Amino acid sequence: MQIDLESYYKKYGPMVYRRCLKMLETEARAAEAMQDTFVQLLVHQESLRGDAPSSLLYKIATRVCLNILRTERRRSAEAIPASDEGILEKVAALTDSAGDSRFMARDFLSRIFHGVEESTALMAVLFFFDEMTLEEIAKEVKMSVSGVRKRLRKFNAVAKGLQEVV
Amino acid sequence: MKDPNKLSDLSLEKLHLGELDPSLAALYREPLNSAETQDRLKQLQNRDQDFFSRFSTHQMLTQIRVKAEKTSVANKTGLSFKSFRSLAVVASILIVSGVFLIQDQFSRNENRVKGLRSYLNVYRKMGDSVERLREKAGVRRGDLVQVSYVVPENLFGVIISVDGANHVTWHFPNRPGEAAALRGGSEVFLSNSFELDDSPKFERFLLITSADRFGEEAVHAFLKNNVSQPDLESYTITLKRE
Repeated sequence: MQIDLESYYKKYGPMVYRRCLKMLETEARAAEAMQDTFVQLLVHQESLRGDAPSSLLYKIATRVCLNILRTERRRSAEAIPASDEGILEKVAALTDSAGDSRFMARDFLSRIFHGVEESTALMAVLFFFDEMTLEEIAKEVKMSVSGVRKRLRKFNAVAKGLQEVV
Repeated sequence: MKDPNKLSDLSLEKLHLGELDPSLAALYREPLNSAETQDRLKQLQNRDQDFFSRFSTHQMLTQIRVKAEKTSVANKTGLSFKSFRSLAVVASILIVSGVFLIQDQFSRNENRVKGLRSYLNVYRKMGDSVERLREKAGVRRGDLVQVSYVVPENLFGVIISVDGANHVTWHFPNRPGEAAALRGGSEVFLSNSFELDDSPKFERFLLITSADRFGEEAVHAFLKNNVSQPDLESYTITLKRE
């Protein structure tokens, strides 16, 4: 599938930038991640099939940002680098107990960044960070709702929120 | 917990783009028609306009194409702009060690904390190799350079250059305005490399930092007076035009 970069950028660029800004929280990093997202689209355009462009670009942007956060985390000497704090706070806010929330959020991030397959990490971000429904996530990742639920149960990131909803 | 009456960001974006799946549209009929959703859609339209004002489409497309070309070449040949950056990172690791050991020879203010100072690196790409440029290194029109910074902790700052004709170019942020957030603790490359133009005499790169936010006027005051502002710290590297 041949991509008309200019058309795609003009239509989807703002959406991709907003996605990257939400995950990375600084304009400069978001702008670079946005560029990298379109680079991935161009480089792999021959092998792209089927997805609506908005879904495809949203997923690529999410993966690009997770890779950036993962790389920064590896380089950082801190237990929880500043680059993770936005996602950390967001996940922490999802839990009821203030005392447990940061512990569970750290666990969540550890599971995203260590040894979790990429597709599961994507689903976890869409569920916990983006607060998408299982139906929305299933549409995006082209799985059944029960399949998504099974993956998230396996992930088991945030005990209370996960048990109530999934 | 998800609010069932509020569309997710992705669904809102798809609605805005006209790509919302019909089955999801049926599922979320009420939220789609709510005043909140309409308000959020208006905000997206405004943000779209802000985006195109903020980022030059031509510049962005050029940068994407250049990066994509380099990535494609890398995938074929194993040699890439990432290699350029990797080499630069290796070079800077060696040089960071050197900074700890040698006397500071550049004009800069003292920085605090942890024994690590703020500084800039300017690298020049020469074919497949990378060269870190030292103070007063000779440069020419057409040289491809990339700038990185190291700050000991998260700060606010700008990276600009001033040439022999006193023309100021903003590199980070890429246009005059408020200082940007600088990421502390490791070398950070600016997202773009750039080609030097035909400026006279010299090109002086400045990293100006502060623990607090500051604006364009503080940068101009700093440049005009060339005196240390109590709350601004700076590091410069000057390259000679050949």
